[in-house]
Amino acid sequence: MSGRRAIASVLVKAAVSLLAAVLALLIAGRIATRESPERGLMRFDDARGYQIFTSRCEVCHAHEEGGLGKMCPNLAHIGAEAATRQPGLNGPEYILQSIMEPAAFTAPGASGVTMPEKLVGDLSDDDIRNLVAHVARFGATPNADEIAALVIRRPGSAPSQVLEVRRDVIEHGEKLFREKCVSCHSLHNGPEYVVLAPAVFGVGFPDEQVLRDSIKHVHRPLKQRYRSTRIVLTSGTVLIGHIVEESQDALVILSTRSEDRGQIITVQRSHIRKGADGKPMLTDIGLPPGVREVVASLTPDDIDALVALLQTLN
Amino acid sequence: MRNDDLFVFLAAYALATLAVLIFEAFYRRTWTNLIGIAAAFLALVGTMVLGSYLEPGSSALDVLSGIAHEHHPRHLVAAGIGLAAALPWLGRLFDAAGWRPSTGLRLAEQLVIGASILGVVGGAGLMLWNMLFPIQLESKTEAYASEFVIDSIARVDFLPTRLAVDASGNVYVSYFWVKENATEGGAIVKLIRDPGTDSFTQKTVANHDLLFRVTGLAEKDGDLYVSRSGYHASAKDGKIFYVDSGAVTQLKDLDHDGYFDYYNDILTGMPGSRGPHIQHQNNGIAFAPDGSLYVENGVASLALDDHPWGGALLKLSPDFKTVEVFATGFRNPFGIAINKDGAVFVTDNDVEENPGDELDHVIKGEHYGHPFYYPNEPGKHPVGFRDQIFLARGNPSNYVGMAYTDSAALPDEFRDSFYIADLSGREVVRIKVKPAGDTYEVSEFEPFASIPTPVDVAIAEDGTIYVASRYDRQIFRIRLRDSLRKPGGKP
Repeated sequence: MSGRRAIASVLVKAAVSLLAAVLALLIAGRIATRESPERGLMRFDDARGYQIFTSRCEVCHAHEEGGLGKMCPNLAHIGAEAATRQPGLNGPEYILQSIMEPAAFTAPGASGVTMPEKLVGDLSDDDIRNLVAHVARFGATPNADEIAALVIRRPGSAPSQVLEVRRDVIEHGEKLFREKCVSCHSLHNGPEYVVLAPAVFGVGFPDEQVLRDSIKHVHRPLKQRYRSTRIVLTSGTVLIGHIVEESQDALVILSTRSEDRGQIITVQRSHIRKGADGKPMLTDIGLPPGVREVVASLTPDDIDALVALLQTLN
Repeated sequence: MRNDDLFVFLAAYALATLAVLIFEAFYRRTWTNLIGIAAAFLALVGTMVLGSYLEPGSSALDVLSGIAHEHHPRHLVAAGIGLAAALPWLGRLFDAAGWRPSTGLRLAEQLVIGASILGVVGGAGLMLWNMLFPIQLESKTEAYASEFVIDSIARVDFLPTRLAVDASGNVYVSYFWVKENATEGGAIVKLIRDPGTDSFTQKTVANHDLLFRVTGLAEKDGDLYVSRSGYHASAKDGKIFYVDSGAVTQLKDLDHDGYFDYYNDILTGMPGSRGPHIQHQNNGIAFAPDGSLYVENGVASLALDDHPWGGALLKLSPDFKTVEVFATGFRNPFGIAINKDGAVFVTDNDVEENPGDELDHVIKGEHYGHPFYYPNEPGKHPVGFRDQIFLARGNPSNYVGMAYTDSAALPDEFRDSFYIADLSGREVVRIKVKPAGDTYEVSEFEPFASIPTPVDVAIAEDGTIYVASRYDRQIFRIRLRDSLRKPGGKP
């Protein structure tokens, strides 16, 4: 064997050895790959899902464990719970239905407001899947194949109405809201909605007629949470507030009188005056004091402006 | 050594060892060799198992491929150490090939072992050195126009927020911090230009907890002005309120010792930072030619702000005594600049979904839409509002600081232009506008320079453009090539 052939032989063997080692590396990589459901999820763009969630959902939905209450259910565990909500729907299907057809099912913890229907109407199917994948990660690792298999149907074939947002009207509505509404309705969609009145911005009140009726017919049946009770004490003092706690001996109320609105007052039952019929003078009066007067002071133009403001910010 | 370096080192070592042992098998098929191959393969599998834990959701090969695509010298060093550590296995080949041990071969074997030791010790030493004294690598920076060159004038050990430049070409950089021991504060560093050497030295000229959250900075007649804010919420009877923490403060150097010692709030009562979007606050400030000061304010939420100045551009009179709402409807405006006509322009970060960042020409009394609609929002037809004159084109894109120049030192193409930092787009863009009715329209747009995470731009009178890179912690200078500048360093 000549020296040249010997060198060639050594080089070929070295190359074969190197190739064999690289092949072994690929095999080792294959063997070592953990079957992780997270891998499948990489086909969805989580950054995009996050972007959409922060723009369109976060204003109403908290998603941290213990996150301050917002107007809509906390989504910290929705990834784990979604599959248990609706028979026949897996987790991603339920989340998709909640986004596309919010009225189809009322989730536990919902405050009674409905999510806007066309919240994601302008998004592509891919982006809707990115959003579902992002939400489905809250509290669980979702099945990527289930998300990929989602069938996205656009609800309602009727052309969507274009909302005219007029600056003069909106600014009039804003001025009225700050003057007449904000002492009870919060500007922020935070935990304050539990206290005195529902949050009204970004909470799914897009329907003009519903909004108009809510303002004009404010005496419509109220949620128990917001009903006021008039209590006459033996001292002659009259308290008005939401009853937030009752025991055998006492009542705890959240005052809705203008002079001490929001204060928590404990009333001993023994201090409540009894009426001629021998019963304690506790009268459910529904609306807190002053609300009817505020509504009565609104002109039709005022109501139009408030409706326009609420529509625009929902 | 970081986890990914260790992974690269182990993978290189196991791979090289396996290759050598397979090569050995061509000459010596013994149990020892077989056991060696099996052991090396198991070591390779074990390494890959560990590697797969580096990145949740990825396989070890994906991780390895990701590392390879980073093209980082650190990984090359790690792989080199792994290969060097495997070199002694080559020693077995001198016998395996059936070559007779000669002095030359023995010497070669010793050389291989020596190279191994040098490789391991040298590589590990290099890594240790890098840990103790980080070796900075030049990030990709480039001025696209051939007339300009770009260089770094300062590396800073903080995250810069804003820039300002004075008439002498000195540059001011603001930053703030929150430390692990719960202390917080802010400072302003002056980059002092030596006209002789054209280099800059750093000097901290203001340092106080009052300078926490400085997100606006301007220099005028030797004084500094900062737009600063804080965050504090209070609660009463079920309602949550935010304390008005926004202010513009004037800083003076009374004794001319180079340190600013006199602080005076010239505007207070702005909303500052508040929930839920606590990163929105009063930001950029800019002086108009008549001495008025414009101050940008952000909005804290997607609905109405509880402060009447939320989302407003304020105008403070030249004597700092009266303030008016100049325009409103902004979300979190950050960049602000005034052109040669005295017209005010701002950049505004709109909704998180891009494109959405705006360049607005601000006209007195106008409303720019937020929170009632965002640019091109489907289903809404705004009436009576004023739209942006330009929407950021990149995705991602994040228009932040901006500056305007009409410096006669620059070629016409680059005069009368706005230079805008696009933080996410990692570039500075140049925009030229021309009058269109009562406003302006964009007549030219071009990417101007590639700079990592630019956060603010300031332009000296001589047309030199300074850019702060937030996460690269550098201040860059972009200026005309020497051949295009006039002698004496002045254009």
